[in-house]
Amino acid sequence: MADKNESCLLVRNVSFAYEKKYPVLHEISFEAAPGETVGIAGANGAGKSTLLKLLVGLETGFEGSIEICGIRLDKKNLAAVRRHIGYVFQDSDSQLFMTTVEEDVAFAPLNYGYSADETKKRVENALRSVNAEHLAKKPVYRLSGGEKRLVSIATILSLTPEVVLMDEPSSGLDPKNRRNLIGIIRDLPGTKLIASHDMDLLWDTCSRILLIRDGRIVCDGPADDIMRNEELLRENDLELPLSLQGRR
Amino acid sequence: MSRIEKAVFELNSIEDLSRQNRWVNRLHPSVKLLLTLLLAVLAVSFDKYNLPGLLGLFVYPLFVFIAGGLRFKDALRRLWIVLPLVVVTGITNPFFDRQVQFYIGNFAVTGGMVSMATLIVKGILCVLGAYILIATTPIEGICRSLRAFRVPKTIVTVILLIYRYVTVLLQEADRVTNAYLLRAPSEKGIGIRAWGPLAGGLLLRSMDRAQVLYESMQLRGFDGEFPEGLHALFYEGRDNRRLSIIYFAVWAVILVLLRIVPVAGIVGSVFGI
Ligand SMILES: Nc1ncnc2c1ncn2[C@@H]1O[C@H](COP(=O)(O)OP(=O)(O)OP(=O)(O)O)[C@@H](O)[C@H]1O
Ligand SMILES: [Mg+2]
Repeated sequence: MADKNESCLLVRNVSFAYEKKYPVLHEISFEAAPGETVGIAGANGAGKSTLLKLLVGLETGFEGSIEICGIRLDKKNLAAVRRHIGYVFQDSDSQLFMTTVEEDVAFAPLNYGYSADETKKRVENALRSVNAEHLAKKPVYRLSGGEKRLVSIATILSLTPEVVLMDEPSSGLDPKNRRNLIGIIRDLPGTKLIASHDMDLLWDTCSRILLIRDGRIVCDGPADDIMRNEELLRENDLELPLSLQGRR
Repeated sequence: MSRIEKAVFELNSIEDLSRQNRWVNRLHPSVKLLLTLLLAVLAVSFDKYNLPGLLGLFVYPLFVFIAGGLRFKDALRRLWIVLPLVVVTGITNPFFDRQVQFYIGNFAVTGGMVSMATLIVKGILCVLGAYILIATTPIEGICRSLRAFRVPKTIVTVILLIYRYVTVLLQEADRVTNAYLLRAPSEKGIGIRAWGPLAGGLLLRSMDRAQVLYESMQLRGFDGEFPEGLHALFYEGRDNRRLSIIYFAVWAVILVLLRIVPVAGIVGSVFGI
């Protein structure tokens, strides 16, 4: 395949159901190029979180195929795939499990066999890239919701994954932290997939949008086109980004 | 603070204690785990009338309290809940064993009373042993040692998850009770009819969150083994191997001596009692 080197994320005809009678995803196909930031937009229950979970192998038993950085996802090579892909949960409250921030951020690199010195460096870098160096020594249970979100992003970045998935990264953040987050996402290297119904966040960070409705991709195109198409958005229970609403 | 909030606060304070950077905290976790086990085994093995000998074992917890900067008042408050259980274990002894052992003034002390006291003290020693372990050793360290002693992965992971999870569960419970009480302002507690649905909902939501927690560990490469050196990474001095070995040797000898040498009797005879 010629395009194998060009896309680090390849999803082909993926269908999935938690319970056989109620399919959640239907024939999803798309790919993402290295460095591309793709927004996954859709109303509540559209299947955004489910799609992301499939990509990191948290839900198995799907039809179709998923390839990450050239590795085909299946039960046997989960560890290899997860070395390349990071997932920030919708609920960052339960994502952190070590006692202090730095230990939590160090967890993944140590597990993947990096040396102590290398791990320390990675922890510093990861925390720096989310502007949270000052939190390093803090116990996790003393963090605010917004701080937890930043730290949970750092726990992923410490492995420097080629692909980063984020589920509703802006929920529960105040305006300042939201700004901060947008800056962080923009500066992140690698391929990013951001699931959200925060259209402004997607508008500010993504170059391309996948619009999902009832488990189907209804539209896949440049953010510029989709975000300005008020009718299309309204049909899918979404709204124009606030920053575009003024300039109609 | 509600009672649940207080409980969460206490748990977090114990975690803070275990993360101090004193030399006791830096000792290798296995050493402290083994000494706690040894303390429990020795305590249990004492004869049921040998109360004075048993008291000698308190030197070890006492030492750790001082060296680890733990406070007796805090420990007492935290252990208050388990103490009744410890007392209950021996409560029937005085009724069965009525043979008089000795007199204090006019008061006849029976064998049952002595053996009840002994049992209670044994219980207290075990509880204290566990307390000084978790108050000086981060839970990941304890888990890593358990793995080193070949305790199966699943069990160790479950222990960690429960430990991590108790606070989350408590917070969830706090939220549920608050939500209930806000809508039932005239009630003092949760009405019995609401118990079923509340407990069920709590269980389901807790399981969801535990699932996320576990998935997040898996995603970051966790396969039941704790990465070596995770704790040591951010603490100066690392796990202090030589000090740990000496510490273990010294305390093991002292504790065993306290068990086999009738120290209390010797001390008594020296002072001519
Ligand atoms: N564990 C599960 N078991 C069964 N059904 C589920 C499960 N998780 C999600 N679903 C169902 O799958 C569908 C898609 O859910 P998903 O969480 O992927 O939506 P979403 O787009 O992330 O929504 P939101 O914006 O609310 O987070 C929903 O209809 C939901 O009820
Ligand atoms: Mg979701």
